[in-house]
Amino acid sequence: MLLKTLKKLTHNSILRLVATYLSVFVLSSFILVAFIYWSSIDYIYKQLDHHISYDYENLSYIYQHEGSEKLIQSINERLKQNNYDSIYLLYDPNKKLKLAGNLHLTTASIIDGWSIVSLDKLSTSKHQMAHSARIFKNTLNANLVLINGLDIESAHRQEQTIINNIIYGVIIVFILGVIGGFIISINTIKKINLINSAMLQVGDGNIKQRVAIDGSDDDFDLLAKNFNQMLERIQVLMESLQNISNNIAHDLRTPLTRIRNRLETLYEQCEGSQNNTNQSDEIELAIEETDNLLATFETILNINKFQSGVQKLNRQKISSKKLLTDIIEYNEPLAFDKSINIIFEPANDIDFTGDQNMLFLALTNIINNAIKYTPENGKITISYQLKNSTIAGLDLKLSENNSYLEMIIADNGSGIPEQERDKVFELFYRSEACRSESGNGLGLSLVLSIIDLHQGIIELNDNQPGLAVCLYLPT
Amino acid sequence: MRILLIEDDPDVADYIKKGLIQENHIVEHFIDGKEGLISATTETYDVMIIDRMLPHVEGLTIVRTLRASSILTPILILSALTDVNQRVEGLQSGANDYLIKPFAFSELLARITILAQSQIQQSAKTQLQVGDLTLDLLSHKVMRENQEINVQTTEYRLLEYLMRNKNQVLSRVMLFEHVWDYHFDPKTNVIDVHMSRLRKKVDKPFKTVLIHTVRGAGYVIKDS
Repeated sequence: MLLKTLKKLTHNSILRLVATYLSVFVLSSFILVAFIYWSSIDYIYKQLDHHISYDYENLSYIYQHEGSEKLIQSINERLKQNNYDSIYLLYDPNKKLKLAGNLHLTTASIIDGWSIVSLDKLSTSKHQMAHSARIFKNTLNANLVLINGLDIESAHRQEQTIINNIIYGVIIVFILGVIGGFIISINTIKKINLINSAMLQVGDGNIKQRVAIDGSDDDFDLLAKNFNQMLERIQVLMESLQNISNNIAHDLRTPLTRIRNRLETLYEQCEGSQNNTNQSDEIELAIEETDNLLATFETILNINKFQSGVQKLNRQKISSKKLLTDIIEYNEPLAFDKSINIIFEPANDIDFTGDQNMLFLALTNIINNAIKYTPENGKITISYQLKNSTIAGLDLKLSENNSYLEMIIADNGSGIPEQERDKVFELFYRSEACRSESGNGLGLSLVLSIIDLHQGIIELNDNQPGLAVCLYLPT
Repeated sequence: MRILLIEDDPDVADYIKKGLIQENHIVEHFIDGKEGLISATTETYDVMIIDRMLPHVEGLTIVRTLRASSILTPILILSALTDVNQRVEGLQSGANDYLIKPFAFSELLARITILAQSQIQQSAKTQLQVGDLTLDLLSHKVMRENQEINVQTTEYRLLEYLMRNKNQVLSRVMLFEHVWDYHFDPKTNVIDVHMSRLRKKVDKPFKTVLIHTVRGAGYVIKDS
């Protein structure tokens, strides 16, 4: 559960954006701070070395002009005057004799020139015991060596202060970065979500939906404007398509109906005259043909309407048991004529929402197909059950309770070869194997458009032998 | 029958008028919604046929206005709007029936005749009779020539609807809507199969045929 939440969090685009922004922000400020740190520390230690060399030159000058006595005297004076920072040792390396200073003679073993020493065993002054010092060792003449230096404790303290300040600074930068990141990301995500939700609504068929423009003229505004322009264009195209459909409906359906009515009148006249049975049979066939043509027209228009999202669902609560019982009862005589056994044993009833007229139409089409392609004495099994979304990886827009209705209409007929299963949903597609059967190749296209409108899924599976039509509908 | 027709398409109006006059009905025709409404409120009709898209006053508004002023004359809405929702909206406004354009005249005639008859109450009857065929509405028994005919639920409902409207042609869509209570045109011949089953039981074993097929229109039950 915790892992799931964590996974979800990392998938959240706000957090990802903030994390990226923050890491770049913190990294760049860290580089800047590190640069400042190194240059300040470098300056502090250079300053220290400068003091030491200056002091050495002074003492060296005193020795050269006024002799060693004066040197010892000025070292002692300096030690007295100075705080505990200064460090001196003047000794004779031959006699191993300390002449002046606050260091033990053991210090003499260090190398010539610059070095850093720990004072805990070398210093005679108790205050300096725990400290380190920067020292400079130089030979004045064969009998005289001078070590002078400075306690670097104060430099250490300065360094510590700088490090502390840097840590506080980084923490503040981090906090500001998080806040800034969130503000920027939330604004961005908000704008993206606005466009996203508009796109989703358009995808659901609400083509009149537009993205709000906040007038800031930023990239998102531009994107929204372009998106709206695109929608405008699509809407115009869709409307012209609809107009074409409506034109077909009006320009062809109406005259076709008139032809049908004229034929009807003619038929009545023929019937009345009694002696024209041949003619009246022909007229009857013509009426039948026009009826078929009208039915085909209406189916095409319906598919168009459903696919374009113009037709809205008349959603109501449907009992799956009653719907299937009604449909089976309605189609049962067709099965009876072919001695096909329809098996439907509903257990518990499941309520779901949908358009019952449309679903009746869709399921009647599926069952009619099943009856048509099942041989005499065959068997059709119809079942339904409530399923949980976690079982199948279906991309369904589910109801809050994460469940969906599964309906299976399975027959033991000839089935559909696997390579044809997608094609049968295309308009006017008729499988080679069933060209001899009556039909217009629109049935399954109509079914698909109705199931799509319900945001459901239709699948054709092998029933070994036969076809299993599986419908998945949100409850 | 005295029929009010409010329809602005002259072709459709002519076609309906001609047909109805041939069937010996009196037709008052108005093109304008307002004039039609005035006539509907001031005069008495047996049935009204009203188009949805009309100049000045829209069809559904006329229906609502009439119902609001307690004029309960049966109304059939004619419309090119084919959506189920629009149909539901039409019926909710107070219309008794809804027919989608384009339509066959036989369908229109069948529907308005039934609408007019529905005014004459039949509810007191407990038995329906056509020729020697009787249907008991209480015991659900179907008898002919003193023999009981065993019919299934669907067959019983089909027979009841036919007998309630005897001598009246009923289209396949009307039978489907009444017996199955779903509202769309199923466009299948399944109704014919149901009817042939019913006829096998009700007509085949007997001398006279009561249920007749009206080609291109539907079915009718009548006294021979």
